[in-house]
Amino acid sequence: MNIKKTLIAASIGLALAATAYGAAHSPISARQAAMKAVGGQMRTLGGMAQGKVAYDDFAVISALEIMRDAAASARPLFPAGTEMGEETRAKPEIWADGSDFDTRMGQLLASLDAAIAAEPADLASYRPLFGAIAGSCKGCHEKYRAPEN
Amino acid sequence: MPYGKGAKDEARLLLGGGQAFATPFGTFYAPNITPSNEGIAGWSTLDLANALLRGVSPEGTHYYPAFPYSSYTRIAPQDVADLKAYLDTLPPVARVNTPHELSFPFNIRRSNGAWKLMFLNDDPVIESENPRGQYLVEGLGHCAECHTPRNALGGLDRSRWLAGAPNPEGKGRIPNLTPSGDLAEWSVDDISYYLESGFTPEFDTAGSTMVEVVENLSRATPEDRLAIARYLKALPAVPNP
Repeated sequence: MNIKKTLIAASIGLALAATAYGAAHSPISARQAAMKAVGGQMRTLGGMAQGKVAYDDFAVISALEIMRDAAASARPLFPAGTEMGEETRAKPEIWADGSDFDTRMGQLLASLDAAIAAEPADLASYRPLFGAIAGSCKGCHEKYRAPEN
Repeated sequence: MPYGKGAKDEARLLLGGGQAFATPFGTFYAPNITPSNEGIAGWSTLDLANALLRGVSPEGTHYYPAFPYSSYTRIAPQDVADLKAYLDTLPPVARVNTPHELSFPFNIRRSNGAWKLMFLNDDPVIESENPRGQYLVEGLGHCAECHTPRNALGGLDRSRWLAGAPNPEGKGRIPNLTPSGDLAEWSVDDISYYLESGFTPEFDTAGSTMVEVVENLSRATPEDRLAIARYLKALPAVPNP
């Protein structure tokens, strides 16, 4: 097994661990673990979009799939009653604004599905797909994530 | 209704003021700078220059340094003229200014004159071989107004230039931008990419006030973002407290 495949296997393992972690822990720590898994894949995906790392369609699709699974696992982890505690940075507006948060989570998943389905073969076709994913991360964080303490 | 904070798209051009700035001296409210009677209609370019570079109103009174003229004092005359020409094209907003809420003795406007004698000068803060980056960071960008700690009188502590500061809004700390601070591991390209996209090298997203700073700097030229990044990487290192 070469290094790249080992790394990918390791990150799949991490994402699965995050999902399993979710089953055994509170929604707050589970969603934080899921977001960490999403962030980990963003490093691979972003580095490639920036041209820091040579474009590799296999690594991109793998990262996108892990990220989609982690994001999908995060979606139900914001039930009512988890607005506070455990140093959550989730803003109360998530629950106050009703369905907007869920719509945005849906948009993130849709942008991931679209990128996976497109199977971008080169950097030029990948960049706009990455831009849509990154834009959904940002839009939601700006609205619904409180600053770090 | 306050204009500005969190505004998107066309609403970003409605500079009617009202955004509150909490400080240890009281709460300041951003004024209306649109070409309306409640704003700055009728101002000449010289009036704007006096405000930005000297902190003086057309009536000759001192502005409070919450208006960052101690940074803007470095703005080049041509940029003042260009700013004036641009402000004149923006939509007028008929919003009456909110008076600042300051406690004694800070409510005595005249004492700003003494403050200026102590803290207002347009000297370069550090030695730099990067004049464009220096101009953008120390002047127009007024980065130090949040990223440099202040003394008891509200003057910037130049010995800890851009080395981070308590957040006047309460939560957290404003990051240390010097090479031994919070960006120690960031490259010039990382900083420049952050200022363009809002993503850190870890691909976390920018938070709080930097969201809007990035929104604006994403419209600057790539050369200007690189100049800012190079200036920051060349800062004198100041460790976190």
